[in-house]
Amino acid sequence: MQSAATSPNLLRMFEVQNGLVISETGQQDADDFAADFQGLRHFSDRVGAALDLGGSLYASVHEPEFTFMYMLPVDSNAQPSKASGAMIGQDASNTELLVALRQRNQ
Amino acid sequence: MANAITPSLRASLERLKHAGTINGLALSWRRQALVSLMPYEDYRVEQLVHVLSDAREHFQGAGGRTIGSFWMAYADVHVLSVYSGDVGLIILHVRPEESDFLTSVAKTFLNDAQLMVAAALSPAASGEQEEGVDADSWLPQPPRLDPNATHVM
Repeated sequence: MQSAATSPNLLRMFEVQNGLVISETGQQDADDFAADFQGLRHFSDRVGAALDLGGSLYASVHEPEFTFMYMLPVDSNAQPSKASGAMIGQDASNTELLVALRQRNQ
Repeated sequence: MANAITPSLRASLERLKHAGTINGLALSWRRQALVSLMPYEDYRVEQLVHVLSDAREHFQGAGGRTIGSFWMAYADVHVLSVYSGDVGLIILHVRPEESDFLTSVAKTFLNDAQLMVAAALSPAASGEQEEGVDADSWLPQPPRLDPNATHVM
């Protein structure tokens, strides 16, 4: 049985600093976050390039029982070394995740 | 004279444009754009559909994952892509607070438009159903009188 600290239904927050993922809930979560962050950011930037929208600021991916979101600093350049993100084991609201990430980054 | 009312995917999408601060809409099936109401050339919309399809395959390729939607934010606009099976609805919208509402709208649309999408994907099949019923079939036809027939109706 998972402890409350690592329950997938709880919001898990992450930070990327100098290319390293900092997680409060263990290495496995950090590895999962890193994989989804890299993939989603890559495709978000490709979508931005296809429509001449520039680089992405934040993005999310939703599954029936999982939601992932990342957010880049506003002044990020092409390869930012800082980012933040969140994962939760449910199909969560974009607005709630966005508010949570913005509050954490303040 | 009664005319058949044919629901149109394009007309349905046009109505969706009033759901919020929507700049553009596109309906896709697998890697193909079915209908585009985007403020972009067709080749760019095709490119967008391909990239989003690649993204979906990337995440689902890991096994056991089913991607329901992507939401991506840029300086002036957001790209929301919602899926139901092989069909996807891509929405360009402005206000981030509308993303959850637009996601539910897109899910409802994809659920309600299944028959129209199926008809759009297989026009030959729907054409077979109407075979022999051409546009002029309602016009009065000359009587088929055969003097050699024993029973003339």
